[in-house]
Amino acid sequence: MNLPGGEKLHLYGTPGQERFDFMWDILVNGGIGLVLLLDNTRADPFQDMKFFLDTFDKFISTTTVAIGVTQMDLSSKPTIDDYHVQLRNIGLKPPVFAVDARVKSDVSLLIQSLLYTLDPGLEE
Amino acid sequence: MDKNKNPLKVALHGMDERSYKMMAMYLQGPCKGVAAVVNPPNAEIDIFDADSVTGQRLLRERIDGQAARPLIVLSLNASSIEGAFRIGKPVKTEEMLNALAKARAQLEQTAKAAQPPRSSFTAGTEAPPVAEADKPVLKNYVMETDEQKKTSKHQAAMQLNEKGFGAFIGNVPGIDVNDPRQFARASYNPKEYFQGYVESAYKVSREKNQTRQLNSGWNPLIILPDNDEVWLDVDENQLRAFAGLAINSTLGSKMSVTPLSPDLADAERALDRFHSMDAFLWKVACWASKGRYPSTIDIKQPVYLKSWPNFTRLLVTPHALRIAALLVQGPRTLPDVAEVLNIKPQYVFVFISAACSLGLAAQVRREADVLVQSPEIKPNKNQGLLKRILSTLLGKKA
Repeated sequence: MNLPGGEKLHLYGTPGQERFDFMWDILVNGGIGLVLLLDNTRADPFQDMKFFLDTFDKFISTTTVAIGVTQMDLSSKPTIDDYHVQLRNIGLKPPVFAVDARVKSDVSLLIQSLLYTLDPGLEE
Repeated sequence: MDKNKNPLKVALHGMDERSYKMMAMYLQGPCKGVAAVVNPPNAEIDIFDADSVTGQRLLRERIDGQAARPLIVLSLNASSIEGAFRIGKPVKTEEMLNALAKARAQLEQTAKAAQPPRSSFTAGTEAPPVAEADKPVLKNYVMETDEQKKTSKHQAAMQLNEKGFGAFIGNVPGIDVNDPRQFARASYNPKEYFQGYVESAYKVSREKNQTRQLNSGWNPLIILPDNDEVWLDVDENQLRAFAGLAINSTLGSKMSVTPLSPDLADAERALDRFHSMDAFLWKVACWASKGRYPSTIDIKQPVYLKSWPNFTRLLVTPHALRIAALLVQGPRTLPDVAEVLNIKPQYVFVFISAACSLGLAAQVRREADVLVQSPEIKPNKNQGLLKRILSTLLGKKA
């Protein structure tokens, strides 16, 4: 992503499988926040969510997290409300959006929510 | 015969949940619905994954049990099993279709041999109703490709900026909702608008968990609580005009919520007229508000936000994300939100109207919430970088 002023922003995605966990610590170093994409067709997406929130607990506590739920057109349950209930139980109120990762506006809104969570005073 | 109208009923064995779902979608998609997954007792053929531990055990039991129905075995191992159609992994669509065709032929042959005399059927006899257990087991999966074409399944958010607000949301003549001296007059009663009737109809439909229609002397709004969808055969301009009008007593008396009429139950519905229930109500509330706040809110008392709205599927009014981010941190009065964010109050009012309609925002009732002031917002240490990322996302030049 080319930013105004000539800076370049690099976005790093990391595979969620545990065998790639050696990459996770390296990638969060210097990161401004975590975007977590969850697959709603998985057997237990809540378990996935809790796993990653626990794993990145330290990083999230100093930055923030925004959650995108993918594949909701294939599997409508759990609903976005169900995710909020689970998150409330662990004391979190992050943005949780239904996301099609191929749609630019979906991903843009998810990142905007991450930025505004970091600083609501950020002017458009 | 059109195979898709008479899919083979298959039972899947020895697969974990993910493989099971994948195979069900594979049969529906690449195999063009030639077969559909049902519960084992209702199946015509069995498909086994012979490479899983459970699959091997179940397959042995199946072979020992001498069941009459055709058997398809998916396996890495090339050795054949007597009486079974073997498909090597990874499964190729052509091979799967070929095996299913053979299984169908075997079934037809068996049926012919066992066919009872024709006289046992009476002309005009109704087909027996489909047993509950015959329904596909993956209820939460979208099996119909038409389902995925529905607007409600994929409609991305529309993000309004300040310039587009007046034209899209409208305003109320005679009041400057942004003037603090006129705040007392800047409210509206949702019950006097289409919004209030839609909210009531949703409540009835959800409580009874039944499809209902909201009759308004206009096109009926069909509410499908099972799918969290509504259907309304009007275009957006018509809906915006209707939602923005206060409903007088004459029209109000025509409003009713009834079970779905038989003619509407059977009617074909255009896929682009489906909306998600939340997205529809959110938009209707924005159009009723026109930059005012709901009369149920006391402007001098703080409001709170229970959770972030699902913005990717809603109309995003100007500064809505910033307002949500601030209110999620703690309760504040509406004028305070406008002041802290340095935005016009109408943007806060319209957001609160929409969030209240979905039950996401409410007035603080506990004394403790009023007692402690919400924290002051501090600029993030990376504000410069965050601003540059934001301006790129919004397509602005710095």
